[in-house]
Amino acid sequence: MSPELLRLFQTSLLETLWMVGVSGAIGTVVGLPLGVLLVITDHNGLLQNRPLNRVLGIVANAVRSTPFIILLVAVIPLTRLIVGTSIGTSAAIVPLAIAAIPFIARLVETALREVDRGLIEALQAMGATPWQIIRTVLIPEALPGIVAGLTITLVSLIGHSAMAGAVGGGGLGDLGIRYGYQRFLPEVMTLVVLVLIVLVQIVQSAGDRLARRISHR
Amino acid sequence: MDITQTYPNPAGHPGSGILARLLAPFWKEQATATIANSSGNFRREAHIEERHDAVGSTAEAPALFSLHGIGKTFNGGVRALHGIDLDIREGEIFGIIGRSGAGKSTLIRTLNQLERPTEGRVHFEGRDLLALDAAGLRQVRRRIGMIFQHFNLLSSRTVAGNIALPLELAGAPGEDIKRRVDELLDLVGLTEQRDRHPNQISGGQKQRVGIARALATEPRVLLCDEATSALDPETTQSILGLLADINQRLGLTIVLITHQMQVIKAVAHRVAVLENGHLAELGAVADIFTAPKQPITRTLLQEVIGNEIPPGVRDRAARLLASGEGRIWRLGFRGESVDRPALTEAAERFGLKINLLHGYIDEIQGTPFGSLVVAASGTAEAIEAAETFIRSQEISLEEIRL
Ligand SMILES: Nc1ncnc2c1ncn2[C@@H]1O[C@H](COP(=O)(O)OP(=O)(O)O)[C@@H](O)[C@H]1O
Ligand SMILES: [Mg+2]
Repeated sequence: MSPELLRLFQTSLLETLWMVGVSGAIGTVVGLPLGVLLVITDHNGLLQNRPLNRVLGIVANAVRSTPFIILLVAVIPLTRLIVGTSIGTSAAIVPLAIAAIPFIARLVETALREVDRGLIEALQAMGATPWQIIRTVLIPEALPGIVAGLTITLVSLIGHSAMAGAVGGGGLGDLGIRYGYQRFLPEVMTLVVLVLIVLVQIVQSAGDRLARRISHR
Repeated sequence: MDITQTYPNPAGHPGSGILARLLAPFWKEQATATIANSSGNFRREAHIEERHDAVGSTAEAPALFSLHGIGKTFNGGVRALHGIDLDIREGEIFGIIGRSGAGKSTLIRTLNQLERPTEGRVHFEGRDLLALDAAGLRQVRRRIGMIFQHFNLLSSRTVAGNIALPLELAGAPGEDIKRRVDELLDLVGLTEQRDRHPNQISGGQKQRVGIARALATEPRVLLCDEATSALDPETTQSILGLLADINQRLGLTIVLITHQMQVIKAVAHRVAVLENGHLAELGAVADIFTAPKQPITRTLLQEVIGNEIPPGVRDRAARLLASGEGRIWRLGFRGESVDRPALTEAAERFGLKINLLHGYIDEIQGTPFGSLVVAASGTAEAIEAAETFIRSQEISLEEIRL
């Protein structure tokens, strides 16, 4: 492989990491509170609000049921509005983050629902406010589950980022398509796939290890 | 006879043990704090003074909780409680017993409003809990500790972290929290386990953490929802011992619910018997044990004392009765009457023949009590006279018909 191609590889890997990292971060910052809201506004929740719960649930489902390739195209106007262009790594972050938000919200919701109701009652009996309960019980107790959910999200974002790359977002997916497929360089394609496999492997085992370490069940 | 007179004082005295010394500074500080933000009729310092005077009488202790006509109908129509009236007095250990589904949990949860009754009123320290807004209720809840059957400890926190939690929620300064947590760890004997997580300690230790956590904010009362039901008998005894100790030394009121009469017998001063959401019977534990009035109470008592006459004994009694004139008595002794030779005296004085059929003797709160089932044979007049005599000896007498 030529030094030039190697450099290109390096750039692509960094682009992928950037896309996944930023969209994952945005997804967490927005998705986590959304997941909390989905739980606490539900029936018998800490701050029950059925209409809000309904709306949030429907929106989350709608986004989650849209195939990513369609989402990618559908949000182009929004991407232009935010980033100024619909092409490039930064532009790819918008649809990736949009896809990540409801994904994370649902995984967080599932993790929070696993928290024993008795713990919430114990806190209520101590005179805790709903916010104190969220902060000291719901999130810390669900943290291992939340970490596991974020790991799944990152893994699927790596896959999605390759797809985004194919439509002009850069990154490893872009490299694989342009060199491996269009210029027919099978060794580039193979290497792209190998790197993606290793990347997913690293993310998954790091996530598993972290979840195990913070779990005291 | 007023049985409460012979009881050890449940309110207790401050004590001179290491515990009392340890807790003294915090106790005082808390008292001042309470007065500072007290909105009126309740003063902790005044209350402590009263406690010193109140030695020996629980009967006159003021009510900490007053329940009037408490009813609860759940969404979906289950009526869990019907018209419950009762007072829980300062300094006592108040037991609530009943079968599973009787409404015990629902009742104890109305005391801190985890469950809002659909009828009736709950007063705590003279205040109507149902009239409080959310913030007012949170304030009151800090004065009502609670422990649970399944402990409900946070797995994400260490033992010390769990105990610190209510203090953090109340916004106590870090230094105070540290000091208080150390005291509480010492109180429940878990200093060495302080940095462990709940999954690394035993069930009994978990409940000790629960108790320490519940006591952290210096509550006036401790609510225990089946606190020993998940524990083995030995651990149950040690937890009950700790609760009795806390009640004695700190004068802390304790409300405990259980389905086990042993628990009531071991620590409670008074007991309420619940059946299908109704208050079936209420009284001093010794009264309930020696003279249960309701069938449900007798059934529950069988768990600890064989109140039912064994079938073989019943047959013997039937034969005795068939062979001549006579009656079967169940005699209830308590306190000093246990030591009186009343039965022998009755037999001699009225010329009766007494056959012992069944009996036991036991002790509650240091007061001996017992029950004897005997067959008395003699003339009808002699038997009548003997009954009057025995009753005059502070022995309860009930005729059993076979
Ligand atoms: N949240 C609830 N919704 C509906 N019914 C309930 C609820 N909680 C308890 N019950 C019912 O109320 C009755 C009393 O329950 P509970 O107070 O838990 O009894 P205990 O603690 O004596 O076993 C039972 O019939 C139970 O099924
Ligand atoms: Mg119960």
